[in-house]
Amino acid sequence: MLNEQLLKIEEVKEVLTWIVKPSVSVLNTQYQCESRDIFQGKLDNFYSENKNPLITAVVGEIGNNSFDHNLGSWIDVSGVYFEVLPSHKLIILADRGQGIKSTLSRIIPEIKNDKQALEIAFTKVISGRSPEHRGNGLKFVASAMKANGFELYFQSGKGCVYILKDKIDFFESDYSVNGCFAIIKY
Amino acid sequence: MNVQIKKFGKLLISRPAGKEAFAVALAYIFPKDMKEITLDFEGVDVLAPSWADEFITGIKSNYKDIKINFINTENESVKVTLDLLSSIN
Repeated sequence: MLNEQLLKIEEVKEVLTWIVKPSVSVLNTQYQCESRDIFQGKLDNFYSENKNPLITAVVGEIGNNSFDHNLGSWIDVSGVYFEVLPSHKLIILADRGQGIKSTLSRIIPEIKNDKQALEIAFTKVISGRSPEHRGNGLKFVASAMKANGFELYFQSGKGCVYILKDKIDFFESDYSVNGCFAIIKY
Repeated sequence: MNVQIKKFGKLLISRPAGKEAFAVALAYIFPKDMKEITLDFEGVDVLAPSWADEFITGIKSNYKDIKINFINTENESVKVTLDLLSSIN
């Protein structure tokens, strides 16, 4: 399974170890985008280097979600961690925010677990920012992945989703991620 | 009227940026009475649904029954974003 191979990459392991800890400080100031402006600047650079509009939009959507849903609610470190590993054609994104279940539970209180929260976030059009009903970012991510053969591993809490081409699998991990953690292979 | 979206930027990504673009357009670009608009995406490098949703939903809620046309939508991010938005609206 791809996610197991990805998780063996040193940089990925380092971020994953960081995101599962109950309390942390900034892992690496070079990659931590404390504000939306910093993230946008790094995204501009990313686009200049790869010239891929769709993968840039996907990264932009995931990264901006961190700010849209977590401003004022970070566990400890503010913003989104955004690292590109060009040699692996890999992108790592991580935030120490509320996570998907907590965000969606405000408007869908009957959500049972992290896995179900991810299923809703990636397949149903809904916003975690009630009374807005405009949420479609992660559904867009799923469409872009499927259409272009990119690979995505995304985890929030114990809920995980893995997307490759037309295949989308939801499952549970035996460890919990604080906030959200994503790896994109492009 | 025809609006060149690239004039709002080439990387159109976030919800706040989309909201700001719509507010500026409403104040300075769009006429008070508008029945039809053409959004021209020529020259846009990246469009994400958060930006597009704020801008397009803003138009729809401020101009009831408006007809919105989209042109020069070949860019992949524009295409996937507009397909998604049209499927949910």
